Amino acid sequence: MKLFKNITILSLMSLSTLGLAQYTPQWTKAPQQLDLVDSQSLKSIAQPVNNEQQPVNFHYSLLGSQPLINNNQGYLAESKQYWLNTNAAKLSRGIELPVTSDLAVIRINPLNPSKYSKSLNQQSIMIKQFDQALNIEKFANTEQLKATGMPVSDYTVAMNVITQPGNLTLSIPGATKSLSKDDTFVVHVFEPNSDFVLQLKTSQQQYAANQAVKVNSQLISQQGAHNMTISGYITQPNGEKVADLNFQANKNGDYLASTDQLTGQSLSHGLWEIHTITSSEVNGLKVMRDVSTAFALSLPTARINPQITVNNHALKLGLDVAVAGRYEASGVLSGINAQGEKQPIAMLMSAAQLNKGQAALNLELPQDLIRQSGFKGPFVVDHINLKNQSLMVPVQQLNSGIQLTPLKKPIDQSDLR
Amino acid sequence: MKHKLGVLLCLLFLSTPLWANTGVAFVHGTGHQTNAASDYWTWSNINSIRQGLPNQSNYVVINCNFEKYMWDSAAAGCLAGQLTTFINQKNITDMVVITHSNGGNVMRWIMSNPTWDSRYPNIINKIRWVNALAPSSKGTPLANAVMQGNVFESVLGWILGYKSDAVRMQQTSWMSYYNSQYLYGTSGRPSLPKGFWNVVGSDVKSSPFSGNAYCGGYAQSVGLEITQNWLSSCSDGFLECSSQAGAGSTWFYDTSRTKSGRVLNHNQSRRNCFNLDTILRNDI
Repeated sequence: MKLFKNITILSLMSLSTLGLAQYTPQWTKAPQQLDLVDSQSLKSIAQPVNNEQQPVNFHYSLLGSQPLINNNQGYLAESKQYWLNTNAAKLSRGIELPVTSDLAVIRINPLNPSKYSKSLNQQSIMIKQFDQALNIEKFANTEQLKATGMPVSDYTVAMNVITQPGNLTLSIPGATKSLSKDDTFVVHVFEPNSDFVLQLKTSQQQYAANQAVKVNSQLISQQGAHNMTISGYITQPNGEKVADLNFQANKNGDYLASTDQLTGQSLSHGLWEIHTITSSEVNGLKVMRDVSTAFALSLPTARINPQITVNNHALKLGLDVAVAGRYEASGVLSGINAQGEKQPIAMLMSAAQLNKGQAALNLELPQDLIRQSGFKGPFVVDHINLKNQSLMVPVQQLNSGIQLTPLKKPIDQSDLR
Repeated sequence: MKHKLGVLLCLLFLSTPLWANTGVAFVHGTGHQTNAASDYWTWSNINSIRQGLPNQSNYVVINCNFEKYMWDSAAAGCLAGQLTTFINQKNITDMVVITHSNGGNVMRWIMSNPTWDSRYPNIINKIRWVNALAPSSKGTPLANAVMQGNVFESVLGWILGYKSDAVRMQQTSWMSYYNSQYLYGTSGRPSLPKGFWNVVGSDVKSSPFSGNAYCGGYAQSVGLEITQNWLSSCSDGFLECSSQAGAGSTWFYDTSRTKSGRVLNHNQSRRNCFNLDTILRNDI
């Protein structure tokens, strides 16, 4: 009987060891401690964009995936185009459009069309260069442009014009007769064959709170970088301008600008943007280029604190919450192979409504996927992100991870009866 | 195709019971659809594709407002609601989702953010895979062209509200951000929880003498002479191939599978052109 009991206890303990592995968690590096927002002074907390109340946990297999890379890299925007504002009065007299190559794609977009506005037609538009009228090689109206999927607004027209480097004059001689003189337009010139490209590069696309937003711009051609006059500004997610950017030239032909004066806000209305307007004169040829690019700012309405525990196959992350809302924590669980390389096992995610103060989110550790991986430990949870789902805004992106070392409790003979 | 076959065999043996109740969902692109079956996909296309179902009534054609941002309740929220209703009403246990253009982004939002909405996990668990027809995974330069510019156009126009959230979102720098922080499936990022298989359209034929030009409508050929300037040589007239193949896995480029090796322009990839419907039917 005693032998039967011992065998039973040993069997049960063996099974429990296999099925209920526990881990000791340890930060690979202490998580950076953010300064949290002061909810009283937060200017623009938008209405919540997500009202889900139920906690949701989810994980899925990353077995066999390639190792992940740092995804917060900069973005290079390039442009061979520029935009100008004008009105019917100016168009009736003619406006100057500098071009630098053999083809100009010109789009005319009325901004405030009324029932009295008439669609522009090919015959009403005159384009001259060096006192010679140029043929409009291809012309498309709004319906024809929209049929391609290009999301132009009503009354927009566009045309291909064969040109030479130099200035064009675009005019609509009858504009003030058929349109109100205050009717406003955007004239957009795109030069697909031009050698001149305006580049705008951000150092990263997501910035932490109070981190300087740095941008770098160049006007380049096969001859290299060119001096230019450049101005820029930043718009917030709703499209409104919030700050000018002051670009400084350096000796490499780069123009650099930065600002650390931006305060994060909800991204429910979209992203922050940088817009630049440039002009240059290269060997007597005027070059105009504009370009825009998007980025995001984190909003530290909460932070992951150093408190971590593992219980019942879940990694519990401690949080300090400054603004109540729905938060998601996510991370990648990886094993470590014989070469010391991380191999992804699973994507871990957990979201819940959290009150202000101390809180926690639990990332479930999928035992089935860990068994399938064949790894025995230690494991790593990294690529840890905290997002505010109520405000559709990133909160924190950790550059540290958590090492999970499996516990192996030896069987104590005194445990047996 | 070989990879897809391997995935299907694994699913069949490991997770899909013999009694699976299979359904197909059609998810449209940018636009506010109220009758996508007729206006967006056409009934001849839908009726052809659903012949691949054991029970041909197990299909749903989504009608949502994809002028909104992908996370909006009118976009992904609406999509989740209609898919959930479909799953529950038809007892669907295995679902093939067919998306077109920006519909792929909305579907990828759901699959990348399963904790956003308590309905998402069940939807994801029921998905066999997504067949993404010409998805705008990395945006399009055409969105840049109409959205960018100086203060006057973009800000004033934006405040006037005549430009759509979805167009704004499909600018290439915007999709780069969302792909790096809120969407999975692009290079270097975690993969998606279920397969996302791209069908890539690689060219546009607009000559009136080309047999390729008429399926799906000939109207866009004049405009294409203009808009093609913004796109690389490999494009479907709206999206570059690199955007269509930017997330998930590429199932096939048009000419490798369509009848007579025809190309699929952006409109043709949502219609029963050049055997595409048969390919999708056989895939179910």
